[in-house]
Amino acid sequence: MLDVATLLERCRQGDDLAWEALVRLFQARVYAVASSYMRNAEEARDVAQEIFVRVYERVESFHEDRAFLPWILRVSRNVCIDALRRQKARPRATDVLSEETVQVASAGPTPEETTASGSARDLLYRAMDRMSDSDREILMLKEIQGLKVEEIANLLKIPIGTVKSRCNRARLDLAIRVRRLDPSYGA
Amino acid sequence: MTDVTCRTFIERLDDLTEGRLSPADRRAAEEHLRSCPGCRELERVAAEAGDSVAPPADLLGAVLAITSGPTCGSARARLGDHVDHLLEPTDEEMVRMHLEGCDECDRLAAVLARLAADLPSLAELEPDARFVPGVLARTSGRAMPAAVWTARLAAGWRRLAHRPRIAWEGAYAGSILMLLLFGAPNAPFADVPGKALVLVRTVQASLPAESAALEAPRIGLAIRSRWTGMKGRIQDATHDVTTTVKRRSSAAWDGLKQELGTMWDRIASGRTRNDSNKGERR
Repeated sequence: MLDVATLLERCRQGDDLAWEALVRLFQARVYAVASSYMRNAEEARDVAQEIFVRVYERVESFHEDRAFLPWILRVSRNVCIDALRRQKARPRATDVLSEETVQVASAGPTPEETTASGSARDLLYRAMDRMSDSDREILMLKEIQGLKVEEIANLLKIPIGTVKSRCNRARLDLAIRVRRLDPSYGA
Repeated sequence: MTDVTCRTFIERLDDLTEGRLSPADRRAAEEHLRSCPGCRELERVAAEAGDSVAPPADLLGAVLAITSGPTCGSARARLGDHVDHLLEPTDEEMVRMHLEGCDECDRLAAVLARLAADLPSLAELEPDARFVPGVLARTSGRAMPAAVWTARLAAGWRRLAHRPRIAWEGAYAGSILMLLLFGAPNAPFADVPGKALVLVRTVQASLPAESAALEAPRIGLAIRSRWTGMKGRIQDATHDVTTTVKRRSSAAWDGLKQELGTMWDRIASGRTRNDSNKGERR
C-alpha cells in the first residue's frame, strides 16, 4: 500500500510518477465529492480535474503534520463552491437537476431498474438529490467521506454542536426520503 | 382497636398480601382484620389493585395529547445517536420504549441503521478512463509554483549580484533610503539624530563633575593598556608582511633578472649572427 506522505514528498521533489499515483489514489474520492456538489457527470469531471490542478499547485503548502484527506476535501469543497458560483453567474442548460443528470453521475441503471434490482447506491443518489445543499454537504462530509465532527466544524467554520445536530437532521431527512422512494428499504 | 394497631397493620399490609410476615405476625394481623372493618376494606382494595389490568390502547396517546404532545420528534432527534450507540443508558432505554410503541419511528430507525452501512459506499466514484490522462495533461510541464518562485528569485539575485555596478547601485539605493528615512523634512526618522544628540547632552549634563574626574584616569589607563597590546600585534603583523614582501620581491627580482639576462643573450647572439652573415655576403 502506498504511503500518502511519501507520495507527497516525492511530488514536492518533482516526481511525476508519484503525482500520477496520488491522482489515481484519490480520483474516486475527489470525483465522488465533485459529483455530490455538481450533480452532473461532465461538470463533476471537469471540476474534479480542476481540484487536482489546485492540489498540484498547493501541494507545497500542505504540512506533513496534518491529515491529507481533510485537506484534499477542503480543497475540493472550495473548488466546487467556486465552480457553482461561476455557474450561478453564467447559468448553463445543465443547471436544472433531473433524474437524467443523476443517472449520468452515477453511470448506473435507470431509476426503475434501480428500484427493481434493489441497487441501494442509486436509490441513495436519488434520495440525496432531493435534499437541501447544506444537508447533502454535511451528510457527504460526515457519513460518506467519514470526516470527524471536529474536522467538519473546522472546515465549515461552525460549532461542533451545530455539526452534530445538522448531521442528525440530515440523516433523518434522508431516511424519510429513502422510505418514500422505496418503502422496503431497511425492512 | 387503637390507632397504633391500625397503623401497624397498614405498615404490614404489603408484607401480609405478599406472604412475607412471620406466622405470629400473620395471626395477629388476621385477628386485627376480623375486628376492624376499615382495615378489612383496605385489604380488599389492595388485593384487587395487585391484579394486572391492561390499559386502553389509546391511553398513552390521549395523555400525551393533553400534556406534552406527541414525542416522535424527541425520539427522532435521538435516533441517529441510537443507531450509532452513542446514547446514554437512560436515553437509550427511553428511545427503545418509544420504538416498541411507535411503528413509524421503528421503521425509520431501521432505515437509519441501513443507511449507516450503505452511505460509506458512496465515498468513491470511479471517473472514466480519460480522467487521469486529463489531469496529467493539465499538470504536466507545470513546476510546483513555490519552487518556481524560489528558483526565479535566486536566479534574479545572482544576475544582479554578478553585475559590476551592483556596489554602486547598492550604495546609491542605500543613500536614497537614508535620505528618505532621515534627511527629508517629513521623513519618519527626521528628528531622530537631533533627539539622540539632546539625549547625549542631557546625560552628559546630568553626570556629576567629580565622578567624571574620578573615572578619567581609569579610562585613560584602560585605553593605554589596550593600545600597548594592539601596538605589539600591529608590529608583529607589519614585520610578517614586510618579510613576506621582501622574500617575494627578491624572488621576483631574481626571476626578472634571469629573464632579462636570457633576453639580452638572445639579442646579443642575434646581432652577432647578423654581423657574421653580413660579412659572409660581402
